[in-house]
Amino acid sequence: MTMEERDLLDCSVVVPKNVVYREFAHETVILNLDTGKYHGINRTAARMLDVLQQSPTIRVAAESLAEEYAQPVDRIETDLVAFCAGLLERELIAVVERGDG
Amino acid sequence: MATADPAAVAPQRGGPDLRSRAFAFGLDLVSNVDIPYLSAPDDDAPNGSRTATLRRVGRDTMRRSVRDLGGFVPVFERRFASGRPMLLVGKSTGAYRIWGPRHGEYIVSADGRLVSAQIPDNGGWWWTRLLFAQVLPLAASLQGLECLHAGCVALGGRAFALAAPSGTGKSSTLLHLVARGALLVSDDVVATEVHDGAVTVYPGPRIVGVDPAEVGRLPSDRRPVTATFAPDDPKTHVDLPAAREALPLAGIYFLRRDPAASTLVLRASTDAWPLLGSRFLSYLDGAEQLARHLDTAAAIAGNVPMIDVAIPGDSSAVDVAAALGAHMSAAG
Repeated sequence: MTMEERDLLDCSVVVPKNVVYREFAHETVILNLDTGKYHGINRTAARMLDVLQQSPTIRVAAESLAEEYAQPVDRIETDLVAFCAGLLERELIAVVERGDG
Repeated sequence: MATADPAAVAPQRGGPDLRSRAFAFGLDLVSNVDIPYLSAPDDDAPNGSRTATLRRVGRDTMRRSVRDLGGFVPVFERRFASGRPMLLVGKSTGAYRIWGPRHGEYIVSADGRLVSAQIPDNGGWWWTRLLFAQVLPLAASLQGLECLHAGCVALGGRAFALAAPSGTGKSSTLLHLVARGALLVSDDVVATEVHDGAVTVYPGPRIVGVDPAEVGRLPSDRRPVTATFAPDDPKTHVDLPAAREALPLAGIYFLRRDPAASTLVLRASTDAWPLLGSRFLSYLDGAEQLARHLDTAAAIAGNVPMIDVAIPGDSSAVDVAAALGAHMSAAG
């Protein structure tokens, strides 16, 4: 994980107002209302997005998901950071730096 | 100076010349011109909360309206192979402008309640093709309905939609389903509305355009009473028995030709993407409209059976209609 990616761990994740998502049978579809583009994510990714939104930081979300899926925290952190980077690139989430770390 | 006032485009609803009344795509439509292939409501009560006024205007009035509204930005166009325009759609602050050669010119107010129509003098019924394919679906969409690229029939008081790429035989299948006792809800575009997860569809025009050979394949006692042709169109347009009321959507069939298939196969599907790709008016890209389509797709996927239909290369529309008709009859 790069330094930049490590910094991401202490950020919180928010879904911007211009992004909506709905659950379908086997996936969740995310729609960026500004671009009109749909993006499909599987159930595990949708669960990651839910936990990310409920957690104060990505690091805390990783701890929660590591416990839920009985996986090492560092592996989940790596997965979450990559997941968030992908969503950021598609402008489907925004990250907010936490002042208190 | 440009104005965005829709009242400059068409007069307000009401007036002694608005003698014609019809329903289509969830709209209760009043007009100063009779519109072929639309049915009149049964009574004088409003047929729903969505009303629209269509007024035929002369060429000069239309030119003045276009000039006054000004600044129509192209948002959609379709052209013939020669490059000549087939359909142009523009948008200004207060209205949409739709034009097609020999089909006339239309202005739809941004709220979808007022339509000005400059109908060609010698166009016969032909002008209604553009009205049905673009103008009224746009007005319905601007009034909050979601229009999907699909045909639809009614059987036993429930609606069944058929979505398919162009050339799959969707309209021909609709024709043969009606010959087997279904009622036409709409050809090519269906207006939908979601309430508490339930999906309602609204009838459109009574007309379907099909290959003339398909009419010949109908049983002799089921051939349509009214069939007509239009210039430069190889299709026969037939007036069919049609639904007159809003109906619950009970199924949606996704038709596709599969040359590798040896038999026609109907299979339950949970694939959301064909639904997401079924928006009819792709140029309506406002946040509210995009979100509505996603909500509609989610409601259909969550509450309405979706069926993938693989059609072998040698299956006719008669075969497909027989299989779908049996499936619809057996459903719920």
